[in-house]
Amino acid sequence: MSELLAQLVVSGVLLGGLYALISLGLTLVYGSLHLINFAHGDYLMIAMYLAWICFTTFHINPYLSIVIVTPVMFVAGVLTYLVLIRPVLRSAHIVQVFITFGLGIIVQNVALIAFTGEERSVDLPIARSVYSVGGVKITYTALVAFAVALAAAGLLYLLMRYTFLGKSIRATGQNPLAAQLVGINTNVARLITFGLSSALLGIAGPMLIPIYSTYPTIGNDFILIIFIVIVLGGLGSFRGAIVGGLTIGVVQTVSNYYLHSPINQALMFLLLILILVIRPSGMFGQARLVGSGGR
Amino acid sequence: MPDRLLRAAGVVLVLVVLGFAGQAVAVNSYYATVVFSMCFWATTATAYNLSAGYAGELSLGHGAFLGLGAYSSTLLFTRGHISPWLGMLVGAALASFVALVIGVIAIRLRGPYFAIVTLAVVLVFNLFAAGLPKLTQGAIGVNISGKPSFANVIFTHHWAYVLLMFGLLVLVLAGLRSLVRSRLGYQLAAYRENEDAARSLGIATTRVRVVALMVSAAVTAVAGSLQVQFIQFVSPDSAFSVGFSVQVALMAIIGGLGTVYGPVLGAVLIVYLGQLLQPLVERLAGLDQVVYGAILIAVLLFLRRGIAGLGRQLRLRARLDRAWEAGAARFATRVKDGAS
Repeated sequence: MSELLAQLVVSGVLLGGLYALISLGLTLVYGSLHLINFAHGDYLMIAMYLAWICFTTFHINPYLSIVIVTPVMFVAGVLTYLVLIRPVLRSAHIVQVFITFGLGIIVQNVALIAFTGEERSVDLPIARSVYSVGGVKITYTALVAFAVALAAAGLLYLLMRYTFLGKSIRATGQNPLAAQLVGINTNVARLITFGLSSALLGIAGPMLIPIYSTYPTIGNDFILIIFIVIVLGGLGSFRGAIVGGLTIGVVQTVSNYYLHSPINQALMFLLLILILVIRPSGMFGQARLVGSGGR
Repeated sequence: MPDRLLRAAGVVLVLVVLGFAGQAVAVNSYYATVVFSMCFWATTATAYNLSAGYAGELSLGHGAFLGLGAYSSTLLFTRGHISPWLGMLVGAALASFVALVIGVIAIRLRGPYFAIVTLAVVLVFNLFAAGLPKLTQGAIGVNISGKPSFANVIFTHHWAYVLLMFGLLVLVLAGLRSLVRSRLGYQLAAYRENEDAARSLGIATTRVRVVALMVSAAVTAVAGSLQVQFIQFVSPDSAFSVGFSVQVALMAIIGGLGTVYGPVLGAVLIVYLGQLLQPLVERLAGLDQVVYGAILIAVLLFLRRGIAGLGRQLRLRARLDRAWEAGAARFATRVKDGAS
């Protein structure tokens, strides 16, 4: 019994690491641009397909393809910012939400046209190896993914905390006008923020492809979990994304084992609604979610 | 002037399409389906417009209201042999109640969070509908069958459904038109212009917005009931649908939020475009959605009030240009006078 629970918790933490990595990008953009990117999950889908193409066409191992997928995703993020996001930074919420939503619709359906709805996966021999630590089984893929997610989060933390770039990104989020007054180019800071957010997915995608197969609407499945993660952790909070990701990873794995039905999933969304209503700023949030001008 | 012209053109377009299709309806059920679809989307987009365009509620949850209407009339009919007319009212009441609850607990949230909450509401309903097979027959869905009669809202001729849906659309449009010029309409306008000023004048903005959401929900539910009577089938994914929630918003935005006829224009245009693209979509599934998404983004970037607001936007631009030229001319004369 306790062994089973230990197994579930360990699997949950490993999964949660990936959730945290994916959430970081969304929360980063929220913190600096005050905008929720509804196409975030769809960009993860792009990254997964890129890793899949690298593997099937060029025979590049997914763990190696990070070096290709991540920069490509960074550029994709920068271009998205320039074409779609920058023009609407001062627009009403409804414009911002539906710009990213429309982008998601386009990306999903272009993927459907290009790759069909068939599930695509990468079969690595090493993906089948399993380690056993004190009765708890850990798959190789989940372990590597967790380690990489941890490393990426650590690097991002150092970048945000100690570099001029990181400081200017945070300053842009806190007070754009004051940031400009001290000589920070807020436009560049925002551009790089969006690129980084997308690049983090470029790390997550290749990590996920040996574990999950990808399909055009996989982003929808992920974005909903990610919403729960960042709302729980607190929008815009770095710590919140990590703690929220790990928590939701464990909660999901354990509850999926014991209650296998759609009702279980429904309870997760009720939890999301409850947090937003009772404590909209989550665990560590600095977000101002309630107030006048709620458009 | 161009605004009025454009609006008239829109109404004429709708009439032409309806008239053309009306002739074909009797002989071809395909046209009936298309026209029904136009009326259905026009009705729901208008309902969405009331909450999003007039009350500033960024809802992604209208699928919940649609589903409540669809499932209420269906389950009451198939299990309790209660006329769908009554079921429709029950559905509308339930949807309004859910809208009231959403409004009371979540309307204070800023736009994007309200969107996430309403999105979660649709998913909760969807998952419960799929997860309670004893009540709803689960993910398989429910077929509606019965003797054709007025009380059963089952007709042998497709045009009967078309007429009903068209009637609902006319009713809803007339309602919205008079609402805009009513106390509630002005209160909503005051809220949109400046919430703080509206509150300081004693307008209970929250209550007014909740009422708008409830009305919008009720209309969406009735449209949902009529739609399932037409299709004679309902399932969690067809009724409590995120896809519907997004599509209805897309049509309303493309047509023009906050304009009375804009969403009708948007709905007719998108359904018509869907028919045009159909042969291509059969080879390239998803192509239509790419086109819709691109139009949505283009409208959001360049047409603040959708297609229906195009006239006003052009007129403003023209006036601005004229003022600029007049100013420049005055400046030029003054410079000339000063020089001489």
